[in-house]
Amino acid sequence: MRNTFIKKISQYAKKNKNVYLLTADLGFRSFEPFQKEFPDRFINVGVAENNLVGLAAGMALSGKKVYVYSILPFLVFKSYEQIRNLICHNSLDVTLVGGGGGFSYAEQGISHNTTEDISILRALPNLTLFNPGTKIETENAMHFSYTTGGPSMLRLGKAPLLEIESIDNRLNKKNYLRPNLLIKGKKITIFTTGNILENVIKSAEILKVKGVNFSLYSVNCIKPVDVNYIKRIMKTKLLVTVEEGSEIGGLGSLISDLISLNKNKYSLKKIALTDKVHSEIGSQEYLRDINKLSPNKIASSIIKFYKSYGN
Amino acid sequence: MTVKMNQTSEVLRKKIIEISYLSKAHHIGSAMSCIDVLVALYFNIMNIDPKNPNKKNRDYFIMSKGHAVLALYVTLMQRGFFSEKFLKKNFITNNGKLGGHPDRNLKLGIEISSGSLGYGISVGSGIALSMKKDSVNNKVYVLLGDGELNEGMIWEAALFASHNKLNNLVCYVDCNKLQGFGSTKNILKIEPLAKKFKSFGWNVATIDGHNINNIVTTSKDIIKKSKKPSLIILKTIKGKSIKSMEGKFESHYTVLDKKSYIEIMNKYK
Repeated sequence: MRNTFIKKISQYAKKNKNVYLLTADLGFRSFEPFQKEFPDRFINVGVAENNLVGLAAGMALSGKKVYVYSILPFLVFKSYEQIRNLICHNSLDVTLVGGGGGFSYAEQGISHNTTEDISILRALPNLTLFNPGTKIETENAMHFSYTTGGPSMLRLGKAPLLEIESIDNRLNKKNYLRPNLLIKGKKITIFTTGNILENVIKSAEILKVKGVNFSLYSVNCIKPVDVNYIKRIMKTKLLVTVEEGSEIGGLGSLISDLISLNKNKYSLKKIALTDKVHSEIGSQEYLRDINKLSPNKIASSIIKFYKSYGN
Repeated sequence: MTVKMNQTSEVLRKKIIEISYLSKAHHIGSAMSCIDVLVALYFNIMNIDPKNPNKKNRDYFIMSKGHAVLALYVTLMQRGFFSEKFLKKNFITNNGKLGGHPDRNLKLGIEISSGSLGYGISVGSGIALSMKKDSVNNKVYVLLGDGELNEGMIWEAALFASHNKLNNLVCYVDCNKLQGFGSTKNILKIEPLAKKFKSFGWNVATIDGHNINNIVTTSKDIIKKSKKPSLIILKTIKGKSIKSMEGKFESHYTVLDKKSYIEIMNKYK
């Protein structure tokens, strides 16, 4: 994912001399091409995330188009206040890019795994929040932040990105803020976001074999939400959300909020991380599995939900 | 010029007292300890234009110790960014435009929001770095409190500014030696402050923070010196010129009642 990011920012830097990349000493073996090509516009501020965001604010105030990188937990949890008070409140043209969403850093432990970031970032006014699950979604998020300006955040996973295109490319190209339709069906509408898409795609194969008829949307843009559009595409009673993040405040909560006035019309199944300290040790695959986010377990949860409504 | 600035400072001290009383505002002691450096900056040192607050090649000021914002407001008022009527109407009132801590509003001369301590050197360094990249010769001035230096972000930014040779950055510490619960010495010792910043690679000067002439001279001299960022430690008195508040940390919280207000204002008559 970082490579897609670095490729895009290099393209922008070539045509715009105000594009800068600031990092808190992370991005080794990924950012070197940018550093080599634009040595004056690659700034390693050292291991200092609060200062990283403060500097970005100052540079944006003086007309620079700033991209800020660190891994997600350090950037979001350490510098949430600076993001809130300096970047969002002052509506500055800064794109915050965080690597390693969900259990991407797996066995590195709880300090590195980021499972509550979406919950708190969603609450920030002025912030456009992307959680891409595919290469095209990452490119779209980059394109949006470059052309639109203002505060935005890209939550990148560590794994290579899926090369999946939306069924409706028109939506992909013109409406970066809308969910992307990947599979079209009639009985269940499944929403997912970010890197866990790779497991949802695998679970989709199981669901197809079991005869479950569903639509699948990848929600790249978590905020702002095109409420009317999402309401339009929720054509089934049964709704499912799948995310590699907390059950509190994430995608599930977003959809839950949207349907709260039509509770009788919908039934929602949230597949997310339970509200506890996720300090288990293991690979990303293992951590996903024990938290019911493996392809098999996602499929099982959906099938159980599907059958409980008489299907 | 100095006489005039001293007079301005006295006028603004009275305004701080009056407006604090009318608005029931606190942080009076903090505003009184830093008004002199603000007068020096806005009436002599800085290249700014109240008629064109957004002009491209201007100097920047960042009020990092945002709680002393009333000192900034009265200075901006006196410099012509807005009227006294506007200030009185809008300062911490319902639907007002001037809050208890600075909120970015370029038209009013406020470059960046602050209030949570620790941001100033960092944001100032970002602006200073951009100026260097663009070969712009303007300067960035930041006002910090000494209690504020407890914040870790200050020291991250102090390293950065020195490493990047930001000699267009001048920071002032309003060193009134008091903070939330009492003296800086007892709460979290920051001395030897000058030595600390020198060891971080900064130019450092320590001066009387109520001597406007000295602030102006030192600010202009220090920036010529070398390729380092500069720190000017202003030895100040919290609550300066209000006898009942001078040197008392309680002046951070005191709200003036009518009796105190009349007593204080009588001194100026």
